[in-house]
Formats: sequence, structure tokens, C-alpha cells
Amino acid sequence: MKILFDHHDPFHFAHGGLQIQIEQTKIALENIGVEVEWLRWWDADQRGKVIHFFGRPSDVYIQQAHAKGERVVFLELLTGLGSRSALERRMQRAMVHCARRFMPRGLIGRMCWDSYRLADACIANTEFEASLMRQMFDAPVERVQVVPNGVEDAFFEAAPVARGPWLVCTATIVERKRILELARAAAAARTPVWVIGIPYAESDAYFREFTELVRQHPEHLRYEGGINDRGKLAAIYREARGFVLLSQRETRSLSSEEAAATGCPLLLSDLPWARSVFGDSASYCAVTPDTAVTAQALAAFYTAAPQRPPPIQPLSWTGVAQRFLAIYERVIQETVPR
Amino acid sequence: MKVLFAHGLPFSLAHGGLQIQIEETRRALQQSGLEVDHLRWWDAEQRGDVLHHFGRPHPEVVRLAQEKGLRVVMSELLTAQGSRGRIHRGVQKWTLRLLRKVRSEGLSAESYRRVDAVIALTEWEAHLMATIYGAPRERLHIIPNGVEDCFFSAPQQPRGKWLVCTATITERKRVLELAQAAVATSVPVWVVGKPYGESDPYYKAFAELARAQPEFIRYEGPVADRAVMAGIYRQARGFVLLSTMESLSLSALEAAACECPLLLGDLPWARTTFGGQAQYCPPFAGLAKTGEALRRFHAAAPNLPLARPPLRWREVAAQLRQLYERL
Repeated sequence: MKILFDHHDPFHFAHGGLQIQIEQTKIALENIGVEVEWLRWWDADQRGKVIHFFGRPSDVYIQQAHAKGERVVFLELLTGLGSRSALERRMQRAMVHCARRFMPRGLIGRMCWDSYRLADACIANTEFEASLMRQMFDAPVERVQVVPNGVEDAFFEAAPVARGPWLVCTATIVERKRILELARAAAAARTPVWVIGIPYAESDAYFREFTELVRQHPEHLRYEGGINDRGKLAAIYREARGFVLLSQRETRSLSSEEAAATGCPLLLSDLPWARSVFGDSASYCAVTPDTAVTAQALAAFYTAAPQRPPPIQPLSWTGVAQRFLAIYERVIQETVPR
Repeated sequence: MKVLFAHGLPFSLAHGGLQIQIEETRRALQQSGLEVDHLRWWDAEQRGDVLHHFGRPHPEVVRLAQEKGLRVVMSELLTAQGSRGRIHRGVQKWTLRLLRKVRSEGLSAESYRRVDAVIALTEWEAHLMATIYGAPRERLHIIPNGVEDCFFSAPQQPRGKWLVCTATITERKRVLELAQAAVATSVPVWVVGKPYGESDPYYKAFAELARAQPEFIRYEGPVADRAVMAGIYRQARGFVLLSTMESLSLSALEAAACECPLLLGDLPWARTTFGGQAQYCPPFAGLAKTGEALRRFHAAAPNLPLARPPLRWREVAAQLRQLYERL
């Protein structure tokens, strides 16, 4: 069985959790004996049994794959949608229904809404996302599967050490992750926060404002860029007093699961994905522009962190690969592609 | 300077003119001394100066590429839009304007405003890109498709009885309707091409008709050898393509390079490209009208004026290179 991985956002343009997710899934599948290739769009002779698309493929893409006898499963991160309020989501659903009825087909086709009905399997990272796929896009219940992210063994294996004074936040430095807002709250609450990550571009005004703030508050803000060595990052989580991620939007944060694997207490934005993954085993902070409110939550978490129970443990990537393999085998067994 | 070529629909899933266009453009650019790589989405180390996206890139990809210092060029085929009626296009234009006012974030049409250059194949597509999608005129460039040298250099031969239609066998190309009209009027038509999938009922109906009517429908599948294809055009009595939607048919240009008379679906792309140098048939005509147009074309073909020769790929590459360098 050969699986082709496809994705439309080049890693060179946008690093982050999705890149790690794709790379680690490929390695883990190969480790359990599944042949996986990157889909080379220019190679007319490349064949596979299943195309695993990360993102939402167009309906034409799926139809053409089916015409060639290939199955299509796709995993989409509903980051924006999953972070909207219930009212906003209801409005969006109503708009989708109206659009399907009244808008030109050419425009509707661009939205790729039908892909949820055409694909052989739609994969969600969380139960919450699975429910969104069914409710918002009418994905057939039996074709929606939940496969969480995995975590590399290095994070499970890191040796326990005494926890130090720093809260750690690992994220791309971009507005959506609210790193600057976290840094302001840390400075206001005099809570030490170590930010690990890089921006998409160093010329970004948001990033420059963040680095300027770090320069002004070296005793409470630590920033030394990104860390590529996964063993080193695991050790940092082991030493950290806690892990903080206050993103405005998120699908299923890989870094928070890596921190959870090391037993690091978590403070997360109060968003549905986080509640559905960690339940009561994490602490939560409302997404608010009010620095004082965030600072208060940060200070309370800082004080309570050593007494917090460890968060729910994530799967390893091998466990994730086994779940994907079961999905691939099931869609291949269906004799006629949908 | 290094150019990265990107495209969203894998060639393994959809063959056709766009694949030839991308491959020939790359080859011609490389022959002109330019470094051109396929974009490897999984390769975080791949670098380039220009991202040339064939299709419509997501606005976020455009933004991220530009943040990395790349210039972004897009070439989209407006196959469907360019073949719609005026009212339909008007509805699309005003719907888009409304959507832009409500929420432009994430709207794929925004890419037309964000990229550094937009390439249209024809004047008609450039007009659509500006009026429907709001592409800034100063960033719009018209660079047509080219044709391989073998089509120009193929030796002249006496023309035979067959009209040739080279196309993917799919509804949009109306190959089955053409075959039905050919049978109805006893006009011999040779169809060269293959379907996207052999299980497609449209293809099966066509193949069945071809089997039942071998004296009027010749079908032996596709012809991969380009020189053989050129020889077929040189021998053909005429070239026929009655698609309901088209951007700038590469096979029509190849036939034109072989001085083969053309009968095309009466769509704006064809009129703006060939004007009075081709014959036309209404694209949605019924069997009787299509048959009549086919019969008249078959009779008149030997005396019809020749179409203006198209560009060669190296001339297309020179225009593109100039554009990349200017960016």
C-alpha cells in the first residue's frame, strides 16, 4: 500500500505545528511498514492507493483522484472556525446554506464545501472539530474520523528534573498566537515567561514590537529564538514551571501536547479545542484584550502550577500512525471510490 | 535568478493542455539559461526568487511567499468564466464585490490583488481578470501559449479525409456530441485523446459509438509522440474542437502551426485568438446544427484561409523571462 501525502502550503513559507505533524506522521507510518511518498505534483507517473491531503482539497481534485481509482482522505485544521462563538458558527452555517442555493456555482466551487461529502474519509484532530465537520459541512457521520496529534518519544522519555522559575510558551510569533499580549501580561504581573519560537518573517511589525518589549523586560521575558533540537525542547518543558499558550485561534496545539507529555502544567486559552482535549487537567484563561485580566490569570497559574496534577497524556506518533493505517485500510477495502 | 513553479492539481490526476503548458514553459525557460524548479512543498530548505503559480494561489500563501522575499506571479486559466454568458459573468462580478465588502479575508479572489504579476493567455482573459477579479491593470500581462518546434517543422503532406479532434474525452470537450454529429452527417472524424478515467460513463458511451461506427469515427487513444501528432495535423483535412469551455486551446494552436484549417466552438477565446481565420460552431448547438457545421467545414476545408501561426515556446519563455526580471 502506497500513501501519497499532499499539502498546498509550502513548509518554506510557513513553518509550525502542521509541518511537524505531517513530517512526524510520515516517519511514524514508515516505521510501521507503510510506504509514504510526498506527492510530486509534476510527476504524471506517480501512483498511490490513497492520497492523504493535509488541508481541504477541491472537489475537482477528489473527483479526478476517484477517476484514477485512488482514494482521498483529508485532514483539515478548522482553526478559525473552531475558535468562533456558537452564535458566529450558527450564522456561518446559515450563510453556507444560503450561498449553496443562491451563489454562482463557480464561486461555490472555490469554497470546496462539497469535498466533505466526496472524500473517502475526513479526519479531525478533536471530537469538537469532528462535530464541526458534520454540522457545518454535512460531512457524512461514518466518514468522519478523529485522529489526534502525536508526540515524539523524546518528550515522553525526558528525565524528570526540578522545575525552575520560568513559564514557557512555544509558538510562532504571530498575532494569532497573542505572544505580544502574553509578554505584556507577564511584564505587568512580573511573572517570568520564556518564549520559544520564530516569526514567519523578521520584518514583521508584530515581531519587532515583541522583541522590543523583551529588551525592556529582561528579568521577566526571555527570548532566544526557536529551538530545533527536540531533545533540548523536551528538557526545557521538564524544567519549566508551566506551559502557557493564549492563542486567539487554535486547532490542537502540538506544543501544548509536547509539554503535557513531559508532565508540565498547562495554562491555555479557554477555547473548545483545549477543553475537549485536556478537560480539567489544564488551567484556562479567557481570550481578552484586557492585559490586567490576562496578567491576573498568569499570576494565579504561576502560583498554583507546582500543585497542579499533570495534564492528560497524548498519544505517541506510532499510536497516531496505527490509527491512520486503520483508516487507509478501511477506505481501500471499499471496492468503489465514492 | 531561480523560479519556482507551483500547481495545485497533480499531473497524475489530470493530464491535458495545462500540463503541456507548464512542462514546455519550464523546458524553454531552462534552455534560455534560467533556473526553474518545481516547488517541493515539503522542502523547507528550497529557495527561489520568483514563485510562478499555475492556478490561483491562496492569498495567505501569496502573503507568506512575499514575506520571504519572493515575487509571486500567477497564471490562471479562466476556462469556465470565459465561456459564460454576460449575465452570468455580471452576477459573479457583483457577488464578488459584495463578498469583498462583507469580508475579503480568505477570499481566494484577493490573490489577484496581492500578487506581483498576473498572466492571462488572451486579451479576453485579461479583461475578465480586471473586471471580475479586480486585478490591477498595471500588473496584468498577456502571454499566450506556445507551440513546440516540431509542429512548425513537420513536412507538408497531402491532406486526407479525416477531420481531427485532439482533446481529453470529457463532457466539457463535447467529444461524444461531435462523434454523434459526425455519424449523423457521415463526416469522418479522428478523435485523439483519453479520458480522465476509463470507467467514466461519458467515455464509455463515446468508445461504444466509435466501435459501432468505425468508418466515421476513428479512435485509437492518445498520441504521446509530438512529432507523430504533428504529422497527423499535417495530413488532416481540418481540426475540430467544439468545447463548451476553453481558455486557449493548445491543440488548436498546434493544429494552426501545421496550417490545418480550424472549426472551433464559438467562444470569446477562439474569436479573440483566431478572428476570421477559423470557422465557428455554436458551442451548445444541437445535433442537427452541429452536424451541418461539420459537414460544411469538411467540404470547405481545403479552400479555407490559414490561421496566423502561433508563438513558439522559446518566444513565450523570452516574454516570461523579461517579466520575471522586471519584477
